[in-house]
Amino acid sequence: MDILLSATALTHLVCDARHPLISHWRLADEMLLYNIGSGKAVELIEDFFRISGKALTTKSRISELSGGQKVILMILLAIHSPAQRILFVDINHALDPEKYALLIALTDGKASGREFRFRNRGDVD
Amino acid sequence: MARLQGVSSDSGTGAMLIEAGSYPIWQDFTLWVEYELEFRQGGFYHLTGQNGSGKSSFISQLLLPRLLALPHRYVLYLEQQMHLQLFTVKAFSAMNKANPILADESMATQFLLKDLKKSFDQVPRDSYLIMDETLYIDSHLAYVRQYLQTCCIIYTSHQSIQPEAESIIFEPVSVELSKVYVRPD
Amino acid sequence: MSALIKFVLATMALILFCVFFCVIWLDRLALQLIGFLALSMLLASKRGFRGWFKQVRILLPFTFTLAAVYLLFGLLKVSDPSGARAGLEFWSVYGANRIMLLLSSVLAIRVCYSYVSFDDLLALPIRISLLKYVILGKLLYEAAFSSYRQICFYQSLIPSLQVGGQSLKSRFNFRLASLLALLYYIIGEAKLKGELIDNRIRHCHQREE
Repeated sequence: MDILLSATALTHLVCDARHPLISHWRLADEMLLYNIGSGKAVELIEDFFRISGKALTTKSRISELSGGQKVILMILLAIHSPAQRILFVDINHALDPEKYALLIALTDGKASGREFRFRNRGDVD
Repeated sequence: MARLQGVSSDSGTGAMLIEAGSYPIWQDFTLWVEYELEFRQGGFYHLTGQNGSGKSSFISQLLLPRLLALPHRYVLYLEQQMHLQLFTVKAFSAMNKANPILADESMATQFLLKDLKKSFDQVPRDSYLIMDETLYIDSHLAYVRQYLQTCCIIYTSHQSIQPEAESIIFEPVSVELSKVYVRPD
Repeated sequence: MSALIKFVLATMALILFCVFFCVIWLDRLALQLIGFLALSMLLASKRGFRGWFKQVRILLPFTFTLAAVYLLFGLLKVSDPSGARAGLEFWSVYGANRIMLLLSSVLAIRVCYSYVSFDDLLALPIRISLLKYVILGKLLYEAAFSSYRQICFYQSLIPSLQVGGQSLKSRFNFRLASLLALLYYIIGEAKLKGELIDNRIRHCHQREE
């Protein structure tokens, strides 16, 4: 994944829709990687239900989510993480237009002081 | 009570049929096929629906097993978020001394399409190409239309809408059930 | 019991095993046998007889290879470690000790760390930059053992392999390609997941580092 080797990876949390999740275990294990505590976890789970219609708990096995749901979860994990600068790659490809619009609106809402960038494969740096 | 339906294939006309009925896909998810679905040679089908509506599950749990059970056919499936498949194709191409070594998904899919063409040219058979959220879908379609005109193409994409494709809609009825039907003209 | 205490106790047990069975009792066949039986019973009590048999079965090829090598040494009267000419009797006892030790060592690791779950490891009070190796290790272990079947499935989806009438050579190549794919996959996963985890540590845990 060349984008991870680029200078962007030093400055941004890179979230690529081709590799949305790292583990395939429980939601709690993935949240550990993003340093998301129990307070944020509740908010994340509520956002996920609101956007995808699927109820999750911290013990839910994330391998059972559909491809699009994994991308939604990746975006929410990034948004609720402490990362200040986040780059999303190819997410519009993986999401239906309605979900994409909801997630863009969510990034607008969480923006204060943080930077969210969006890139499609083939875009030049 | 969900009932499993059979599948039939009239290999004389090159159509693969999935009969109407309820198909339990996962423990807590069922697909309800409202009317019989027919996938013909030379046909072009777009499976469309929101995220989580069961398109990929339909492909992996219903369509693929039935296609693979048919005799004398080619089935090429390009998976969503191609990862393990990429390494499999890379290993195969390396063993067959392909040049250059496949580096990414784009090269791997081109390799597979060329392999399909080569196989078809040698031994013509009913062919099915299934693309699940594949990147560069437009270039793949152009290749298939040029070299594999009788191939049945089934694809899912939120971005690439081909007007000439027959749309098969996946409509969530509840979290545990999606209805599958052909979009009326 | 806290995760840290469990981990420390398991590590201490393993160190004690190494000191006694790998050093002090290395050439005591009876004690090596008792050690193997005791560890077998402990593993069987934890994972059942099937779990024990599954573990031992994986080691059987190595066991037979070692036995064959030591038998050969004995038949050829290869000199012992002190330089004196040694016969079948010496090498069979020498070999039996090492083979028992090999089996016991693997069982000891399985037994000691069977009391420490993955959740316990994640709960250890260590930095995420070190925990990364635990997570990555588990990911790669699972990738290694669960991907082969899927690889064979993807291979069956390559059009030129659907023609049928597979010769012995093509079936051999199929298996070889599957193993090569598994190797590519594990190396690829190690690189990709390692970079993804590093990226998350850098941007989500940076204040703690």
